Amino acid sequence: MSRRTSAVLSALFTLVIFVGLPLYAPSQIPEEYFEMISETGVDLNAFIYQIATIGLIASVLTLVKGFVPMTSYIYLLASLSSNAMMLYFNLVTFSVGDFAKFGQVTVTTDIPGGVNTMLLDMRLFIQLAFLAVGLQVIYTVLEFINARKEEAKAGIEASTPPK
Amino acid sequence: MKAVQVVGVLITLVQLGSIVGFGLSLHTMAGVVMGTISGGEMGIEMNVEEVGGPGSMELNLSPQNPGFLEATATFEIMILDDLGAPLDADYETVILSPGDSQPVNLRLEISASDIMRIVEGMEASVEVTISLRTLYDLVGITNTIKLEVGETI
Repeated sequence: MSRRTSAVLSALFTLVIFVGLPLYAPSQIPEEYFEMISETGVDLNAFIYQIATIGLIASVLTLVKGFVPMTSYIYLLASLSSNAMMLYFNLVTFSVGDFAKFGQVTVTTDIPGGVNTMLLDMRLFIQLAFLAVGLQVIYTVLEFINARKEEAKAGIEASTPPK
Repeated sequence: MKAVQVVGVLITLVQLGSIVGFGLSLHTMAGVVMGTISGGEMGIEMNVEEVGGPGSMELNLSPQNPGFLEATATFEIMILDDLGAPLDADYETVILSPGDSQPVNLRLEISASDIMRIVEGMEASVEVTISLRTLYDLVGITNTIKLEVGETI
């Protein structure tokens, strides 16, 4: 399978999972559940649109990566942007829409005769996401340098006249 | 092995570790919470032995851990006056190994004067906090239920 075909399929998959699904699924959820979730202080619509936006940008970046040579700076920039998007996705997911919470989410609900407050501490997974994305940035740069070296080597071999 | 391959392996390990850790810790925390609620032996009981005398409040739980990771659970009960100041508090921390279950008995002592204030209409409240930590205490959930005493007794 060529790089372009692979990029198109991968972009389509990303689009379906991160854009189509989050935008379609809420239509299947009864309205009262939405109201119940919004009462907890979680803005579900904002969360869904953030995921869909991330999915859309990630799809475009995947396409760009598939259609430009691996040695171009556009490829490097698209790859680094994909890494940044992955980090943002993790921050948004583990913070239920508010990335500034960095994995610490408080959900408050009214119960008969009182209040129920739930604090989720998922900071470990945010730290691991930072680590994984940091490693991915290193990987991307090393891959780019290797591709440039290979290209330079191939160029020298092609320009050397046969003996 | 090239540096790029080493980094690739490290990325896979970190990502796999995150997914497995997330799944196992969520499973354990949800299991302990559900096991505590549906344990069958949960109840708050308020006792006043004589009119005008002191009272007590007891919370009895049987938390269970059906998960795969060890969990540290702290249970706390507190009675607060109308200004939010604690009148009395009690807590207990238990370490629940996978498959383990331990009884937790918490008791609040309420003085006769505080009982009188409650009877006279003071808006006292009871706060029950369940705090769970798992995955070497790196992941956690804290659930606090605050109820008006009038609703409790």
